[in-house]
Amino acid sequence: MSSFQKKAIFLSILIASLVTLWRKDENEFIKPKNEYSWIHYKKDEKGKLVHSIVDFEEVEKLNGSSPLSNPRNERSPAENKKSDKPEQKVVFLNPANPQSKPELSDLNFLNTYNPAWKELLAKELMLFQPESVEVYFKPQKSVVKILENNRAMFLEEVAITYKTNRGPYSFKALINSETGKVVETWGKTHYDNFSPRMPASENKGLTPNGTL
Amino acid sequence: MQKKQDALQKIKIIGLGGLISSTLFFTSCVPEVGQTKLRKKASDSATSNTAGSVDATYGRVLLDNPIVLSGNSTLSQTVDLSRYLSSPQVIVDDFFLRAEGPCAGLETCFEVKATANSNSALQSESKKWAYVTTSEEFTQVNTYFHLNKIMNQFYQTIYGGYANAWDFTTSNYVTSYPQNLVDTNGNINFFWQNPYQVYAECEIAGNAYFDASKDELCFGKDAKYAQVKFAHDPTIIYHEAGHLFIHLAINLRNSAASTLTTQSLGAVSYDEAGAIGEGLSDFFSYYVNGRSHIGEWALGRFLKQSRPLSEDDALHPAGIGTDDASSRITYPNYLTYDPNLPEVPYEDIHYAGMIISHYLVAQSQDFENYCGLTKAKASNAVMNLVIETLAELGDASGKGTDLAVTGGGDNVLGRVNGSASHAKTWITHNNPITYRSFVQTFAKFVKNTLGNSSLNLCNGSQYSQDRLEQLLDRYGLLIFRTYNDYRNEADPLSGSKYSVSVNPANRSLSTLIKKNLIKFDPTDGAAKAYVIDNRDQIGKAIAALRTRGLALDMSDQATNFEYNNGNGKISRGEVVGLVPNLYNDSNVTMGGIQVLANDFDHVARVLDTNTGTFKTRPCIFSDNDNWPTEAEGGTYDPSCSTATLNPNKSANLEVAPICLVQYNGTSSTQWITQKEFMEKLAMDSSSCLKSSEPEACFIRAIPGADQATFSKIDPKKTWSNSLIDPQTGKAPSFKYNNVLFFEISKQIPPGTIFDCRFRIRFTNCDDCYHDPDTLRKNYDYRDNEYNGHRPFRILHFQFPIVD
Repeated sequence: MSSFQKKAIFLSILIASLVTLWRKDENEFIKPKNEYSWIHYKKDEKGKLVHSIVDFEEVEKLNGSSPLSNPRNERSPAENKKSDKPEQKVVFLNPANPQSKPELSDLNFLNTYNPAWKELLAKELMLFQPESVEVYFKPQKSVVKILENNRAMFLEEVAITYKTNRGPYSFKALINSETGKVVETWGKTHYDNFSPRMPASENKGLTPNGTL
Repeated sequence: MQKKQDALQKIKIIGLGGLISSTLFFTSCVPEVGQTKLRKKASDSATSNTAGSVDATYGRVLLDNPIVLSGNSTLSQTVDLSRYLSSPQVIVDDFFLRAEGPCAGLETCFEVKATANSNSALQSESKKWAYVTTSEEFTQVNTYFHLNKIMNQFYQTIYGGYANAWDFTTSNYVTSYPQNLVDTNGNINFFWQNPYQVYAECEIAGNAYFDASKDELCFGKDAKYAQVKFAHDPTIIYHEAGHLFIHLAINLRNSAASTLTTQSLGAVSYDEAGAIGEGLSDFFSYYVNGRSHIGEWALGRFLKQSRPLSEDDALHPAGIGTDDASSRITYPNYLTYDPNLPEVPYEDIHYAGMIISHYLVAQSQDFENYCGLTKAKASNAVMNLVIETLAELGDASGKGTDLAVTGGGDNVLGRVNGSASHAKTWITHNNPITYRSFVQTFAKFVKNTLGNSSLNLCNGSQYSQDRLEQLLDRYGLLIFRTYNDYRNEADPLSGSKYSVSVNPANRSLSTLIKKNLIKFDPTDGAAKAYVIDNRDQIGKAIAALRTRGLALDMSDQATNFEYNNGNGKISRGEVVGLVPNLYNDSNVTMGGIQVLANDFDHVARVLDTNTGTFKTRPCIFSDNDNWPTEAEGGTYDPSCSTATLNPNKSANLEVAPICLVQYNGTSSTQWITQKEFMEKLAMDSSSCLKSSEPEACFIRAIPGADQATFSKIDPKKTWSNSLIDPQTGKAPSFKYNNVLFFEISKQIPPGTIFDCRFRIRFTNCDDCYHDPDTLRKNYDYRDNEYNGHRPFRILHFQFPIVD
């Protein structure tokens, strides 16, 4: 191996090591802060949303003996502390150029940060759901997603768990920080249904009531 | 630098050592692959499995499931499992049942608890892990042992694969392993952000799950016999762990690129990606224990749901085997085949996945036979190729490999999945993982690794392309014409980035069908589509989809589906479900049918010479639906001939929702966009379904519920007719994956006619993937085309809106 080749390998490995270390720091930067507890919503007998703040452990016990019948920590929720800025350091999401971290003032935002986004999200998540379904969500981090033409959106990353009579269903989501609407979801629970095969005619699927 | 070199050297040693150690394991502990006779334990006497009977760090486990260990296929649910315990095995040198790293630098990879209610991982002050087999503690120890075993084996495969792919800073072939996958401490940069919580006695009957968002694995119990615990069947542990490792593999490049979101294998309840995920998870069981059957105890004994992994398995009926070249379970004919009840077709991802599990086992065996690899090395090689395949296909950075030129930007094509800006739309909708894309990519990696003599991975030999293609063909999977080597960067006219062609002489059992042979049911009086609009069904469906993270992006129009009148027509204000009634007009089976209702590039901005302003007009695709006429508002604008990349209709004026509106003007009747119709009605966008989406002002496909999938359609049949139960004569009802859901605005004037352009394709379709353009030489379409019309058959639904 020539001296030049050795120097080239040395330089390449040095760069790779530095990149690795830099990414490690970056990863630490984006690790979620556990500043929030899980926020729990369900419908009361009149269909009105009621909520509480619960500990993480209680969400872990979703399969257990209904610890939610008497939720703890019935205090004023954190989301009532109004702020017009994201409540924690924002993470930039720029798929086309992951390394860029522009100044917020240089971006044209399509939305604004709404401190009431959690209430709006809860309403959205419980929309259409029967009283037997409850939802838990936990804010993870605030995100600025960079779109084309220097446009951007304030988003929130949250973990969401529905408690249903078929078991828990969980996923992560990006939420519009202004409207509380769900923008994107990922990481959904994958069930392997281990039950006897039912005849096709007895499957509880959807039955059409008209044709085109 | 020395540290980095040391780390890489260490990885190479670990990888090699892993192979050696797993080879030893394989040759000493497991029955032969393809063995159909159940092995009986030498002694059936019960073992007293108490703490006093083992040394510290040891415990006894079930090395396989009770059916295999007993040799009794009719074992009672009340069996004394202590009769089948192993000799003492090393469990863990810890006071808690938790596994150490290296998993992305975490101190603990996973910890095993009884249930979610347990305060901590199982604790033993003596570090002795022996418990009576009826106890919850035993189930946890058994789960831990097998989970730890498969995790260590998977790590060795990753280390070995990475060491094969990268020689320090130089790649040995075009690999999807990212160069920065392993850090200086030997930690793999996985999406493994928290210790996995594993519930061995999960309080869910008849179920087990993998949860990527909460980092959980759950093993339930039989719904009828609670003493039959799924975690007593190691093959089920391997299967569920397989879902976890698939998740890590498909996000291998995303993790290295520090993306925020992750990708999954499968988007809806049935699709081919999900089926492949189940087949791969079954293969994980073979990868660990070398046996070609899964779930004899947890699935087979009481549910009649166990699955073979080879045609030689006794569960398969006569006529299926490996001796005859044409007796394998072929794609797509066996997509709805359940060997437990073979006469009744069944659409389910677990059974549809058997084609890939059988192929991978057969491929592993062929590596053994041809390359002279041990069984362990052969299955390890296959697993490494699976990881490479998933990492490339799941890459949301748009690159697929560190050697790519670019990952693309908003309007710049990357190498894979469109571009970094829009990859998710490609992975879930525009070009999702199918049997075709999976085996094409897998085959490319076989060709580039074991088929590359310079890498010497085939024991001094070279696994030939013909041999690879002939085995794929036996499974009906040779449904690609080139290996798509450089994906979007490939150029048929290039001297370097060209795609290697498949030898057509090797295609015997694999069939390719032209897209125009899928159509609406031509039977007299047959419906084009079925409509579901009654409030109860729609309400339950939408609520269920939303708990699964789908259909969450809806308008504020209906809060309780109060406009749904259940008249079986499409009425103002409703949320409706549509199921296209598709027909296979060819003489062979179609597989992997997908109907898309998402936005696509099918309109053009054209200068109106009369007014001097630009208008958006529907493209006339003369090579496809040839609709509408120019007099009806259509255009042959040159921009219609190829598709743009950005799928976002608010940013790309050539992209529009699929439904157009008939507008009766003063001089002619024209088809116009919904946005133009809104303007004709002098409406403000605030009155649209969503004010931010005037393009979908009146009819809006609900994101996440905007594609329908069907496993297969037999020749000259519809999907329903293909799945009729011959015993009852009944077809199955529709599942969520069969239905497209739409919101209909209450602002639409009654009588307004809409025409919706649905894009349809199927997996063994020739011109849905191979670009017929003479200059492209049957290369795969570039990804931008999947944002347009060319790879699809466009079929129309035209309907009036009623009150």
